[in-house]
Amino acid sequence: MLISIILAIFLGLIAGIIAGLIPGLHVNLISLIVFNIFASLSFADSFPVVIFLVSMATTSTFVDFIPSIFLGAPDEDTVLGVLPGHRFLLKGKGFAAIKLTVYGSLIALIIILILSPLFILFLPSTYELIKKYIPIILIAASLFLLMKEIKHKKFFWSLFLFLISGVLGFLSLSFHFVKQPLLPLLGGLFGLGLLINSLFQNTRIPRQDFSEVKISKKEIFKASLASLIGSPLCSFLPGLGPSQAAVLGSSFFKKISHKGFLVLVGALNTIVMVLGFVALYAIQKPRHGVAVVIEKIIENFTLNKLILIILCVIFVGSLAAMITLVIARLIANKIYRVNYKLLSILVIIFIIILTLIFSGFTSILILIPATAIGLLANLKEVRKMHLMGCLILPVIGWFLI
Amino acid sequence: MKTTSLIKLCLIIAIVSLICILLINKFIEPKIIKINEIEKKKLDSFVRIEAEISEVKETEGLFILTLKDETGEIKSILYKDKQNYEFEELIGENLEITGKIIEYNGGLEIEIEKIKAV
Repeated sequence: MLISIILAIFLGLIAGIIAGLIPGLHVNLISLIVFNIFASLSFADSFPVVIFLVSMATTSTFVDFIPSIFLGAPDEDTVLGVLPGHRFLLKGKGFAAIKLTVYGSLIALIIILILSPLFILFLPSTYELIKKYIPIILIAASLFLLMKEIKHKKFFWSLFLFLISGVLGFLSLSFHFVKQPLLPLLGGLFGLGLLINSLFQNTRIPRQDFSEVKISKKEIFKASLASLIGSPLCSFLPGLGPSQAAVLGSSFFKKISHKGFLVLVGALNTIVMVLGFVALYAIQKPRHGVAVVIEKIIENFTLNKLILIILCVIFVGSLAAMITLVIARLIANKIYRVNYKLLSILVIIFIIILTLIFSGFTSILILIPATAIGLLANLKEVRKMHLMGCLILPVIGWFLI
Repeated sequence: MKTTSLIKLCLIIAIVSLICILLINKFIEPKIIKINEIEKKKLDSFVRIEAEISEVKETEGLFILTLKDETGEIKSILYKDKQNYEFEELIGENLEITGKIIEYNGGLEIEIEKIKAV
């Protein structure tokens, strides 16, 4: 048993690195493949498979900032409208940006240890109380996030993209002719849109430098507190994810610097993933794709198993932090020599092939509008979190209709 | 290409594609198959079968129906909020059922979306 768990941890670590590095290859997809393999084979004990999934999901929350910071960057003219990570990259500080997200993910490990017992103790009763208000909470959270765009004069486009993504989500999830509709839906909205936009830019990635990144203790404290505030709600409510948690959490502070924001998103990415496992134990509701698969295969989800899962997260997280920094350093060393357009084209082709293989040829019918909407968000410099309307609106509809 | 033209193009593509998906979903139905053709590789796909209900069980949130045709039988579920039927009256009737193949407890089931009398 012990050997199989250790093996599962290391295989999960490798799978997490692969899933994190390749854009479009999300851990949800690998979990689904693992589930299909699991269903066709007879395992004496499913727990090592669960540990494999936990290890993979945790690792990917560290590693997946590498492609999101090193790929899809715009040119200098539009840099103000994009993620802080890309600004760092264009200033030659891509490695520093990764380092800040890794700090965040490491802080997340401590926050997970604080929040998990609270989730176990209070989530079941809290969830029972607020269950019937979930659509109202989702509507209120979405409106709050949209209203924040008024001061940036992007309210109209944010609302429009939120709604049109929602309509696409509704239609895709009920579309009769596509298997795994989430793959073309999310791949188009969040992957292809960004990559195609970068083809229109004349991006030149400067030589990256590796000088120390300085961030004050106050900024780290603010980011930690913001993740502590933002994560609980987004960890058990359907449709809300790390980006919404980041904006909700940072709303409690007057200003969070770009460095602090990178720490915050790094932390939330890991917290929301791992608290999804704790929520599965506490309220038996899976809140992300990996938890869906774990729910299907785990036999008798006891507190001891949850404690083992959390210990695995802490161990894997510490390793993943080191591995992420090593890989990021290697990539940052070479990125200025890479033909950026060619790289973007190769990744676009890869995502399209992956979608066609797993979701079938008809998935192109979802991929095209999803890409167009994702591209619109990039062109109008609207925050991508509003595209999560593709899941939030169907969830609201599911509760209300 | 100018940004404004690209924005217009994206808007047109998005709206036209959404209308296409809506029309395809409304007017083209999955092809009818027999129960014995339902296999694991069709997991998560939508299918249409002509079958009769042989057994009905009711739980708090859903109906569990056993469907059968000349090739075999399969369990199916229907969430109570989707449609209201008096299933006892439908036992033995020939029906056309559209739904998604799902896996439950290692076996395949149909999550019913639509039931139509043939």
